[in-house]
Amino acid sequence: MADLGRFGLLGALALALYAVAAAALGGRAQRWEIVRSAVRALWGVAALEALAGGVLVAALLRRDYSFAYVAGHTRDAQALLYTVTAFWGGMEGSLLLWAVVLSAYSLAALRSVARERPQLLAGVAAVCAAVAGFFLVLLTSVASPFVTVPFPPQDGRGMNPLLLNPWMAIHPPALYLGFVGLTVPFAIVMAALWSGAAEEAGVLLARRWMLWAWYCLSLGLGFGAKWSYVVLGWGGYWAWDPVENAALMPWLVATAFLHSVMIQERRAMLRQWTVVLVVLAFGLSIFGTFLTRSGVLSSIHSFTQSPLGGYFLAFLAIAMLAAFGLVASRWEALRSPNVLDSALSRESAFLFNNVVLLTIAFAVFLGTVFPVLSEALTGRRMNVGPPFFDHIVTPLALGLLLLMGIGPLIAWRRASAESLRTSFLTPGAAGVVVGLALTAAGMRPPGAVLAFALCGFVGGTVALEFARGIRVRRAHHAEGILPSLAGLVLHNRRRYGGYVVHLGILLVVAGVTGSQVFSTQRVATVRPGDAVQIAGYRVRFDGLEQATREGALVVSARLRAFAGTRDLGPLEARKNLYLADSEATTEVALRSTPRDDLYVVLTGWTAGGDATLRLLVNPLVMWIWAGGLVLSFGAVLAMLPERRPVPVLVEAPAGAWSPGGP
Amino acid sequence: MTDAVMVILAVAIAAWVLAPLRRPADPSASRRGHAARESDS
Repeated sequence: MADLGRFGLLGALALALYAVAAAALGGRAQRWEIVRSAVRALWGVAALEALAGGVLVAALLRRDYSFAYVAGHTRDAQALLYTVTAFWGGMEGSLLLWAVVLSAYSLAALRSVARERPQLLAGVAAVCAAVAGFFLVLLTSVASPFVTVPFPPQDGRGMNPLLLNPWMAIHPPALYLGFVGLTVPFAIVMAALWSGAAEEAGVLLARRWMLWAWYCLSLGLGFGAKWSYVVLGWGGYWAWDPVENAALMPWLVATAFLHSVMIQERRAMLRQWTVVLVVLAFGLSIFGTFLTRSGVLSSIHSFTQSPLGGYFLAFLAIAMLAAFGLVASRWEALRSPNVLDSALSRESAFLFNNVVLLTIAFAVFLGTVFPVLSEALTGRRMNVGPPFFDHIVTPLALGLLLLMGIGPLIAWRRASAESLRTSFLTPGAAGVVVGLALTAAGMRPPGAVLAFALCGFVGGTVALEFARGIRVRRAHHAEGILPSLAGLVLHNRRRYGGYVVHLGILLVVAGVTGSQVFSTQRVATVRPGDAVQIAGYRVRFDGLEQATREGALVVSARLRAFAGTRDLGPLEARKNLYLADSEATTEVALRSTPRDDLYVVLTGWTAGGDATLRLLVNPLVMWIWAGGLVLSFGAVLAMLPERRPVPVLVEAPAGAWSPGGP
Repeated sequence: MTDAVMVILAVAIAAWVLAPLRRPADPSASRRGHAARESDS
């Protein structure tokens, strides 16, 4: 079986290399039969990678421990779900997932490119095949999931217990769908520049793909935060961990792109900038994978010991040199005919938004690589902790929130003082009312009051935009407010989807502010029957229980929560001790309401039945998850195709490739 | 058995991928492709 997997990967590598050469040659010589052959080769790559993936899944399900990967990432007692998710639980499997996802994306991209911009087909095929080729080189050399051992063990080592959680089952695929998705806009833009179509550089076609990748990255970040909150048991959801930052950086750049591309569409401005953002987003997706897979994060020395890091850096350097070289060669052709008319314009607000997003991305990049840089330069590893990120990112994020409220209110090109006064009156008043009300209610940290006031301002802006749209629509259609709202959103999905995403973001900001600024914590050692008071809650400890489950000794603290005299019901905080791995995982006792989360962690216990509990009350955490849902809804809305037909610029070459298949 | 599957797969995929090269090229398709490219630049 392992032979079949190895064959699949080697065959896919050969086909990918052929596809690069054939697509480049066919595109350059305008020989469509060669391009068609290259596209077929990419279908072959996808089929053979699917075969390799199937072999690995079958080996995992059969628990075939003659595969070193299977023995390392599953065991007899592992639940079926986690036996399947072990596919991406280790380095080799996750790289195979990268390759499989990339192939699926490549085929989908080729279909849409063949339909809408067939002259880009050869370039897109060449770039997708080159990226696939790189991952296949890794999978067939230093990171093969099909290494076998002559004497298989009786049982496997199993997956890291921390990963045995439903959120961790879906977090990596979502993140990978986002990371890999950034390859497609990159391929489209590179193909456009290569083919000489520099006037819009394929950016408008790339936008839809970027939006999808951005959506998947958002989901991945959200799932990761939820996992961190419920499994790691430290009370938070975001720790500025390098792995989190690796996903945040391309997300920030993709967000900047999604805003700057609107200026390109509307005013044909920022063309050079949007192309640079596409290249940067792709580069950061490879850099993120490098960070998490090279071992460089634990120490620069482990990086030099692992060949994977060297491969990644070499590929990243070549890809960035080639991409920026191509961009530089088309720089003048990309120059915009239009200039900024006024600092008081929507273009200007979007430009500021881009500058702030890129500044945050750069700060996160600097903080993430600082330990590596310091170790390389001075021999001493110096970490910048969360305070560095908090100090830099918080004011920038508040500035971004302000721009989120301002952008939709300002007119394109040039705004008059009168129009500004009219537009800002309601949202500005909403922000001021929120700020004053919270101050009057006793909220003191000025940063928190400012953040909530800005949320009120953004909320006011979004509400005003919806109200204006409904008013205009009702002037033309005789319908009620709700049908009018539905009609408005359905006929302008992209615009109002974007506003719904803004609503989601402001919910997330409100949740982060509430939970970061107003969290309370207590640590207490208690005997059965004792109760601990915290922030209006009383938590009674009713005793410990022990059980053995799925290879772990599970110690549970039975708790009961009260708010005043009201009984809120039982809770259970658990510690799972995986003795074979000397690992422990936490299952938090959690009671969530829109107002706050009661969060209890069992941190220790004695043979006499006493327990040490860490209790937190984190306000507004539920708003973060609700914000994620709202953001998802808005993003899906914005991704749905518009009802207006997309104009087809050129007729597809009949002999080149049929959109219906290879 | 596995070896036979691999050989058959390899031959079938290679033949399918290379098939467009063996067909006479459609010159009108190439011209249209060229025109498409020119209309875009």
